[in-house]
Amino acid sequence: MSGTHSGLAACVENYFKQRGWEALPFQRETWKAIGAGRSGLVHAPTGTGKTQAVWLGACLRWGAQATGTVQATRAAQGPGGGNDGIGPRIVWITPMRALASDAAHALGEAFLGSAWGDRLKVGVRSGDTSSAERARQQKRWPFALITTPESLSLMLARADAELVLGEVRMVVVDEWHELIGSKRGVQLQLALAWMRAQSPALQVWGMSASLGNLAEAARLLVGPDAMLIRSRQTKSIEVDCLLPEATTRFAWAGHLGLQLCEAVARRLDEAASALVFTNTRSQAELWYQALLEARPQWAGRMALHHASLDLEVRHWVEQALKSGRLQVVVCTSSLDLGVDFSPVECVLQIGSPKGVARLMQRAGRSGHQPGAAARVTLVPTHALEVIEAAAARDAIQAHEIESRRVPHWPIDVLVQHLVTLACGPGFVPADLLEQVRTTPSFSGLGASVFQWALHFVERGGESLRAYPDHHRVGLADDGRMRVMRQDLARRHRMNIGTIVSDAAVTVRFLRGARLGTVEESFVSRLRKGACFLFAGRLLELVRLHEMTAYVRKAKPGKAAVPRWNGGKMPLSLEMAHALRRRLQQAAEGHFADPEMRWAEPLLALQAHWSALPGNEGLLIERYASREGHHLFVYPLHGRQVHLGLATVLGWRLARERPASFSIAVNDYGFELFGRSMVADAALRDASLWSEEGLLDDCVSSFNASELAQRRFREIARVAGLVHNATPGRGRSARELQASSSLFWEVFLRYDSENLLLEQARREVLQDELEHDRLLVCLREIASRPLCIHTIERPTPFAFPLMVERLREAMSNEQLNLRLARMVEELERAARVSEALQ
Amino acid sequence: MNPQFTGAVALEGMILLPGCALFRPQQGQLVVADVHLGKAASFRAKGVPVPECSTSDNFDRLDRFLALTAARQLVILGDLSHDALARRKARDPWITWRDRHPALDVVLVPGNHDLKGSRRFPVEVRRGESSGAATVAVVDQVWPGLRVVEPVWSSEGLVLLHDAETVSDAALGGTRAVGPQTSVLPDESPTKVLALCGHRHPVVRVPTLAGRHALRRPCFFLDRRACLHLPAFGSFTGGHSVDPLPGERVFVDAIDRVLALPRGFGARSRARGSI
Repeated sequence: MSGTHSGLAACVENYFKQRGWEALPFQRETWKAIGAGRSGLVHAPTGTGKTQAVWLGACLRWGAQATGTVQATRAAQGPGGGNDGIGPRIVWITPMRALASDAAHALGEAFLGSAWGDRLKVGVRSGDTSSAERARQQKRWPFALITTPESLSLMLARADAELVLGEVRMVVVDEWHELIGSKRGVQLQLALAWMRAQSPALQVWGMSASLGNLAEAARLLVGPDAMLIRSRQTKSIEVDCLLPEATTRFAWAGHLGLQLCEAVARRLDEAASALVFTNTRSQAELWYQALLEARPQWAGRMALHHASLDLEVRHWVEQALKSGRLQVVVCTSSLDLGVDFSPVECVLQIGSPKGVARLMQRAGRSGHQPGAAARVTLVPTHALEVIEAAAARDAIQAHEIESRRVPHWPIDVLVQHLVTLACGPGFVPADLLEQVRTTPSFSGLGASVFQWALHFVERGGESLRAYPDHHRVGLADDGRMRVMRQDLARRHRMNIGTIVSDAAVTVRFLRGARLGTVEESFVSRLRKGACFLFAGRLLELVRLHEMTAYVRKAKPGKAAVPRWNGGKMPLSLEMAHALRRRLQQAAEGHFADPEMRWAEPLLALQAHWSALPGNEGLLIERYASREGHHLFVYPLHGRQVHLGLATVLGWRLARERPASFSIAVNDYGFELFGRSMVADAALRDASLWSEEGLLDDCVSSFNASELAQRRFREIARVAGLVHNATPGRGRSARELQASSSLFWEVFLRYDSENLLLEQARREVLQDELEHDRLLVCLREIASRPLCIHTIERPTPFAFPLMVERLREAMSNEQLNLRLARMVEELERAARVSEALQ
Repeated sequence: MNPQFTGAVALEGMILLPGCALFRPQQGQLVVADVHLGKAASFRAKGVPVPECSTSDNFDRLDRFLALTAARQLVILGDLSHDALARRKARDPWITWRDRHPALDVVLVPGNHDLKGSRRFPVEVRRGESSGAATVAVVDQVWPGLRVVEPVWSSEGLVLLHDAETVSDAALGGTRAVGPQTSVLPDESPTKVLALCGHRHPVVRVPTLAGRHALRRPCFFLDRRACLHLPAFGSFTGGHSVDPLPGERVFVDAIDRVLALPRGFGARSRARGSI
């Protein structure tokens, strides 16, 4: 035994020697910890060998034993023996199935050509794995299985789950920071809890990029005894900003557009390799086109990479990037994760960085050589984003990075997990409750809540409201809860997962080549002959048929760019703080960095006409225009919090005096726009800003909106109310939307205490309106004076809010009153447009 | 109009009632579409949890309309039942309800859901004039007190049918030679409704003041072929958005009243959508 082990160790040493590397201290530390049977989290900058640390550690500890066992099994089975091969020893979780093959390559490479290569087999099992490959795996499981949280749950839904997953000795979670805050992470927590119950000595190791709460992240994955191993290598990160020539004082989001394109192209000229990150896919398409126009000679050496592009296209780009064939890649967050390629020389970020961790991760794509600094250049799309560059630099220096928290009691995921287990090995409710409670997301889960979830899958509702004839899960003869009907089990397996996106329409040339997918909501708005930019081409829609958009190349002309969801990401708390410090310094007359000097005219005018929003007090501007009365408020807390605060304020003001406001928000502040003036006294009334009754006011004001109902769409999907993966029957998302809204209405009317409704409201509160941050914001406001300025014309900070197209309507007036007024308005508008003709 | 129909809209001797029903006072005829009885029960049996709700609710609402209008005849424009399973599940509640209204003539113009699967409703088909759907088999499980007529049924000057898409313009009784391209109703001319139909479950998104939130409500929809689409009556039914072309009209169900949207409403909403 020790002989084989030393053989492995030699093999590992050899692996490093061959490449002329030296195993780093953090890697040796990880090997030691894994060898000692510990669990934990490894944190090291991108490209410094996290994967080798964990993978080689796992092999050193379990490789020898696994080989013996496999041989033993084979001997026991005899030639051509049964197919109940022993399960995998290592399960390697990757957040994206696109990364699975990369991971398989990286893991397999370590022992390539050595005697161990054959024995320490690596397999991939994800949504992309062929059924033939799956069948092969079932005959003989590889030593290490690379999979996604969804595919792991799918394995739990197998009747032989205990057999297959019972032999797993170690679970590795790559990019844990990506999963931690999402329902996919919860799904993984539940699967891990089940696996720990099978084998209490199960080792769990995570890998994570920079987070504000790394130690906590480790505990959330592993439990209280988590080890946190950090690489001692710290990479310094430099942030600079591409400054526009002239300072624009009145600017709105995106106003700079492609003005800086030539400057960006010049910067790219100097670099041998570069990544241009954008915040949205449509922005990526635009910049790709613009850069190609600016430098036609880059055709073939520049590529586009985003999540909507066809998998093959993305693979090609990744490979070309690795092999150095590409000079420039314009990309979105699709290249934030995983994909190992050699560092590029230059990283650019178009638009606001939004978060510190995100910017650090993107910067980390450059300068991997030991000692070399990572460097990122911000390209502002908005004058105020220039200040964000300075703020981001401060935050990185001060190491103020965002934290991630796990979702709290997501009932829909629990419901899915119950049915998953009932499809597979079955469960005993009392034992499962204990098991579920060990996960951070469900710690302290009330027995009544668990009971509700159980009743819901068993009989639809609680005993008094049980739905007749509904039985998804029932008590089997062996005392376990099981799914009795095969058709239900099959449908559940096809719907496992928590990712819900707008239905995707395939974009395809008439002649057949597939280009990728776009959201149905976008395509359905296009008419035949409409043009749009996609996959770096100008395309014309020929027809839409069965979830496929047939297109041809369009003649150059005016294009409509795909507008995808997303891109509404708020500024993080850390970024917001850093920004406020910078504005405060400016208010005190300090303009230290080039960015601040550039922004000085804008800030000076703002100070002249009104004041600078900063730490001193809450700046409020009131402005009467021809259309009505505008109230601009600048808490500097990010757009989500602003949306919540604006909604609650509007609600509270309207409660005092019936009125209706429209709301515009951005990361700096918000606008409340109404027909009548809000009195100073009403603004200064402390109850307006009070945290008392915040929860109720939030709930009431959201009831007036559709937010919770929209949120319910995802919950209905996760909880198995609506299905979208019936084979052979592409179900349009509009139908799915209709169904989930139908469920919403029916539950509301006939089963109003359904916990899934409550969850939708809670999620809106927590995720969309960030109730906790809202509370912090209100406390801050309460502790500072209000600075109310009446302005004669929109200030530089007010102007973008006026221009902001995102408007949230709200009114607490009766629905039909609202409709009647709308009709009146529409009539008037129709008359005006008639008169103009 | 009878003052008791508060919130209703009159259209060519017909009354569009809030709550997704239509009444023809001269004929004493109450018309609804797409009731989808038994749909929730059918869902539950297929393992999808839906609360016990809609069957009794549907009957209660029908009762209210019958009391309000004192109608002599109830016409259902198709999809009275959701599927075969639903027909089995809803048969007993149907009989109970039917016993409450012995004098009422209940007519079903069969729809695609009524014709789907086994236990289909029998249709009175006279030989020689069978249309496409006339192959419907007569089965034993008939709901008592339900008169099933042919899929395209003429009644008191109107064509009543389930799905207008499956029928030619001539069958709708158009006196004008109308085709999809030429049949735009002149905006100011009085509309002449030729047919009533269901199937589409029309809903309309009415933008609110600032345009971000839209209210989605069931509606009556008068299309270019002069066919009036009724909103789905059933409590457990979804809807499909309509986007009216010039000349088409929309009457929104606003809970306690019906509101006629202005002409040209759709053209405007579309223009905004495509910018």
